[in-house]
Amino acid sequence: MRKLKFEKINWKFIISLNLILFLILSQNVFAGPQSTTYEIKDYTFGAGGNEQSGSDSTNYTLFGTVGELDYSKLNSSNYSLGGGLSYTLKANVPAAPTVTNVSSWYNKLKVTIDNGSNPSDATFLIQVASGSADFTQDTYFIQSDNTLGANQVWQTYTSWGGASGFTLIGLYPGTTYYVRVAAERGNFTQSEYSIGGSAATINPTLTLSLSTTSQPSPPFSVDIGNLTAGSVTTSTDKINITISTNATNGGLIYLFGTNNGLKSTTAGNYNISSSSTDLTSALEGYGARGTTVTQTSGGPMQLISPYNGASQNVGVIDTAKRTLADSTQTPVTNGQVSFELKAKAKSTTPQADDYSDILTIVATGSF
Amino acid sequence: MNLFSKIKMVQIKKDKQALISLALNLTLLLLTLYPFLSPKKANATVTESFVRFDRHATGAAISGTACLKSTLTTQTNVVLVFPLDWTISSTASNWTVTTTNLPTDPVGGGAATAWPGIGTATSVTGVNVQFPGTALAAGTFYCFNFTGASSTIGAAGNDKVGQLKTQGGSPYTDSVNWATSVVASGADQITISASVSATMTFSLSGTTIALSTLNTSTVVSGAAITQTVSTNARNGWTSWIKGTQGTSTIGALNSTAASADISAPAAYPTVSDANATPGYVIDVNTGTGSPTVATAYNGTDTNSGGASTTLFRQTATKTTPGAGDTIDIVARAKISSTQAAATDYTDTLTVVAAGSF
Repeated sequence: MRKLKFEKINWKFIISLNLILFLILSQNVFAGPQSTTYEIKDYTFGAGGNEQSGSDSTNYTLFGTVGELDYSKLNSSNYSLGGGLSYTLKANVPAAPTVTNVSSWYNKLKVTIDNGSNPSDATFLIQVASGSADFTQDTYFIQSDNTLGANQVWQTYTSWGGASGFTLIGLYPGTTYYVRVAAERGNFTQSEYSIGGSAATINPTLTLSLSTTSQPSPPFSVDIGNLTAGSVTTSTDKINITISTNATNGGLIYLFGTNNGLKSTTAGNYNISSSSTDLTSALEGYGARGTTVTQTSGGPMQLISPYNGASQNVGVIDTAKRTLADSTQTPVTNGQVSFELKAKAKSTTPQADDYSDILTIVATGSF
Repeated sequence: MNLFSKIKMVQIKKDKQALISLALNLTLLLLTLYPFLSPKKANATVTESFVRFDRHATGAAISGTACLKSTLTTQTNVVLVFPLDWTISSTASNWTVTTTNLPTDPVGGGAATAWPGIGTATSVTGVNVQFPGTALAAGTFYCFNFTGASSTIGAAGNDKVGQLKTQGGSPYTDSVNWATSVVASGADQITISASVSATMTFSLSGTTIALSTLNTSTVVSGAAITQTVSTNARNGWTSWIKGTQGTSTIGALNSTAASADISAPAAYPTVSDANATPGYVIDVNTGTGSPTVATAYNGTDTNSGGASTTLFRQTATKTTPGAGDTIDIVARAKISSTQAAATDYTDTLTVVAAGSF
């Protein structure tokens, strides 16, 4: 029964249909229709193209046969030497696109295409490969939202950002991307691909280092000194935090303590509690105040309230992770934040020489 | 028009044609799926994401907070991929989560939303730890805290990379690469120290108590002398008093002219009623700061008190630092009918206090 069904099937039709689908879905098919034994090197579509269905744009209309494309032509990896009417109608091959990693980007690259002196209504297709420079693996096309996808998207030079280019997003870190461009001015006029341009994304980065005014390396300690009742005492040494990251949304620096204040074991675990306050008017307290922010590039760094107060205004140091500073949602290089510690005792703050807290600094990039 | 009119196909057996058809179909399928199988196209739907660790020091226990804001909503499981050189417990139940004290959104500053459906890890593969989760709302900043028992941060170095992924798509709905910095042991912490010196102030409101003329019918009380103590001694303070007349247990008002004493009705530390048994007593009353008056001087009324002695005897104490703590010291006396007359009955009281640091 099954055999009988096979006999009724028109295998020529099925194979032909498969070949058509293969041609449509293949992204880089330059070979002609073929079977396991034969390949058609030379064929034609006949008198294709007219004003309704042919190759046309607002500037050009093709009447005549599009064909006689000889893929056994003289060619190099970048250029082909061909002849015939069709080549006079094909769009100019754009120059290699400019692909750059503008600022240690890990998930995007800037792409600027060349319009190849094509008319303004010419459209361009941008192919991207991550696996190899010859575009034989891991190939995609840039979509209208500047991401990579499988669909061929043709847009005008202006839509691709013109001379300013655009940012190709959604890329993998630490990967080289090869980009090439084809142009067309209507059906059957697609140019050869341009020379490829390339650039690499780098891996996400985050560096963190601490120091104090008098200690370039760990272990770090800062002595606020002896607290006089009724007076605000400020640490002589400042704590410096340096952060670099290429995170798209910038870097953030947090701080937290272990005691919710300055605690003395010998004074029965008495705690000079920390809070965000103006120590001038507070009877007792402890906190941090940012003093300076700098950066080599990017950012800029900024202190976050309540650590950006003036004079004796301090921000709380408790067990919650508090945002001390950030790089204004921008990647930053050598963003440095310095802060000082302030404390005030009252007349009944128990005498002790072991008031202490342990500050922990953490940083993260918002990727 | 038959596009393949010029094709001259070699005659082959029908079974072979079927195989060719199958191969071509498989090729078509591969071509269709190929872009989705490739690993080099990251997801561009994540608008914000970070993994913040609680410590940066090598060897520290692993804990932290993972946050994500995406435009996609089909997430299910969450996968945290840690740097390869970190020690990751392979026991899923060691990876627990909480959703309290979440950070604010660095972009916009809004409060984070607890990651829906988050729970103890369900599997660990190498450095990949998978937590359960449910669908997220687009554009919402979600976070959860994680702790990995028996898991430690690896060797020091910058740019230690990992990933935060959400499952639900193919193979992942969202996949974000992150980096962190690992510093030397202790290089992410600063020990803060301070000291508070000992303080102590002491004063008396006056230095004389005039009892005027004593009589046999009523107890005469002098004006109170207020003792004020301030100290930051962590165990508080104690005050003492002693006289110059009498003995170490029974003090007195002494008259040189009459060569006579008006002694305390009872020996220290008994509180006595001078109205019932004539004599000279010292009474102490508590004031500001509520210090505790010593029993031996805690008279119950305006007639009673304790004996002054020639030794320092405790009058009051407080177990915590005080600021302006006070007690009132009152001298009281009543004489018997046989008390020798004189105008120079006197005693000199010495009052001291000390902080218990």
